[in-house]
Amino acid sequence: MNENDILDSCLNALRQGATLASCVEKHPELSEESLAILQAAARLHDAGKRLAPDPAFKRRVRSNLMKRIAADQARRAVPARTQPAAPGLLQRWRAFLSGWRGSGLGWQPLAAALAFILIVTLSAGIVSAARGALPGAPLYPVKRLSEQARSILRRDDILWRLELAQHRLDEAVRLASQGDDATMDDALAAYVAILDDVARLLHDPTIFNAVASQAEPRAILLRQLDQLTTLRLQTPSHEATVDRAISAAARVLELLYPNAQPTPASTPAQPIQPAAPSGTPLPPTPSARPSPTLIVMPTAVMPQPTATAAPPTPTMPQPTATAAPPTPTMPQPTPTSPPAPTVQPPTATPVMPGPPTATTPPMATPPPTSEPAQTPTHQPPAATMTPPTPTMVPSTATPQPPTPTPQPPAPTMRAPTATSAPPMPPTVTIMPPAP
Amino acid sequence: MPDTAAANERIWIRQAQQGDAEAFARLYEQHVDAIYRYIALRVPSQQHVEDLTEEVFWRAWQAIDRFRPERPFLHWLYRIAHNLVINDARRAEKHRSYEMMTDMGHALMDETPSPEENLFRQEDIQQLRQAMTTLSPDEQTLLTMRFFDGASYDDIAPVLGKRPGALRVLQHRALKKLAKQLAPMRTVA
Repeated sequence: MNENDILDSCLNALRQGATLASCVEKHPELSEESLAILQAAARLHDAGKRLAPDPAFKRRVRSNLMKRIAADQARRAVPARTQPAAPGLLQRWRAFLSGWRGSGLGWQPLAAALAFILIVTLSAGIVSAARGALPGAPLYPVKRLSEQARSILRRDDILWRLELAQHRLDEAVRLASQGDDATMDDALAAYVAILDDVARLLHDPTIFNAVASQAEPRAILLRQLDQLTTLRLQTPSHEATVDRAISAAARVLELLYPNAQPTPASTPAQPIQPAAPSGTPLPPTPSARPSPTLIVMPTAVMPQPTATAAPPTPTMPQPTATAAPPTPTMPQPTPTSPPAPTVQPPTATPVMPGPPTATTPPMATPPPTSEPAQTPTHQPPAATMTPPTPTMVPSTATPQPPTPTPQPPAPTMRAPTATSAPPMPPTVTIMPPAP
Repeated sequence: MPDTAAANERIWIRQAQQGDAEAFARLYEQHVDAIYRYIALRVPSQQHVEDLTEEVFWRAWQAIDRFRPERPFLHWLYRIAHNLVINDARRAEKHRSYEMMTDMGHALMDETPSPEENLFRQEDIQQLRQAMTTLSPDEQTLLTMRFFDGASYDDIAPVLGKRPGALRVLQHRALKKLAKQLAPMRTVA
């Protein structure tokens, strides 16, 4: 056994309670250095025996510990009841920041990203809030700017421009309801400008072909005409402005659907026969596809008809240039169709009684209806009435060429109710499709 | 540790991990003496020893969920005490020295110290504490666990993160340094 082994043996003996004297007695050959080591270990062991806390200290520390533990348990119990199981937004954010800190990417990219997100969010919020802004409102320029930005991307998009026109019209309606007639005029002027732009674009065959086959522009324009008619009733002092808007909408409607859509400004007026053709056969139905019926009843202040519009004669109605309604002299399309009236206007149902006077040329020509009215629902006014007006007749939106099997006439026409004295505003009525 | 005591300790540990403060109090009573000795031999202030002893068990309670039962609980406590003492020594270093703390602590104490304080102030204990300060923290822990608590190298290895074979060499070197420090003191005394 060498010196180190003896030393280890003695150290182990000391750790287990043996005395230094017993070890020295057992191994007298130990060196001075080993003896010093053993003496140090013995002192250490002896000190460990004496260094013991008194009971008061242990009770004191125990009491402190129990108080701290109780407080800790109470603190943990409250969040456990109130906090949801999933980490909250704050905890997730802290975890994200902690992860970012550990990634070593630095704070500048994170700050830039957060600033970008903040700007985009605020911008989107402002633009969203500006959607309902009216002219004169602080956010209205933002609304127009947003529209202009989108217009750049949708330069040749007719639907987008019609949507823009709808925005201006909606603004005009809201301004009218608020009594702000002057600003309403501005909104309507903007509406007309947009529709003029649409009309210009429609001369491009590519654009025209892309949109003419769609039904949505027609629906938008018809809705706008309806809104304008209502607006005209609400703002009689701004008839001229509203009428310009009506003409613009009607013009676009005719451009888009030249064979189907009657417009007050493009079709010659039709004379109204005093004797309503009640029960008389009407032009055959061109197609089975139902379509809404547009009734426009302009007054004397309506825009003048186009130069091609011929004043009606008392006896011979003038067919429109685009429509191909049966004339009195035209043969009936089918042998089975009822006999055509000899002096019947092209439209299925006459709306205005009495022959128009020479001083009040008709404003528009009623095109033939696709769904001929079987039984007129109105009574012609008395012959003594002097309505300067209404030469407008109802018409269906999509007149089609006569078919060999004409459908029975349907009551699609709405008769003018009052044609005397105060001039009636033009009304645009969407009639339900004929069955 | 007898088998019964070891079995009881495992039960208390499991109960404490489930939030049973009384079970943790039993663990405290079982190991407070060893932790106190371990700290008292390395910290010169009695009040400071008490504070650190309480802090060791408080941190043990906070982290008991992470304790792995396959390891001896006392050794886990030693590891906590080891880290606390080292950090405390670093803080004391910033406040110039332990001596200043000791002087200040004594000044605040009663003029008639308790029997425990008298023991704490005994000369041989003071000499031993002073000699221990010349050792590294690992050496201090090794000697304390070996000669205060009779721990084996295998028990100490996970506390210090060293292999048992290395601990034998470390113990020899530490005792040699301690003996060298204590020899002149004994001569003077």
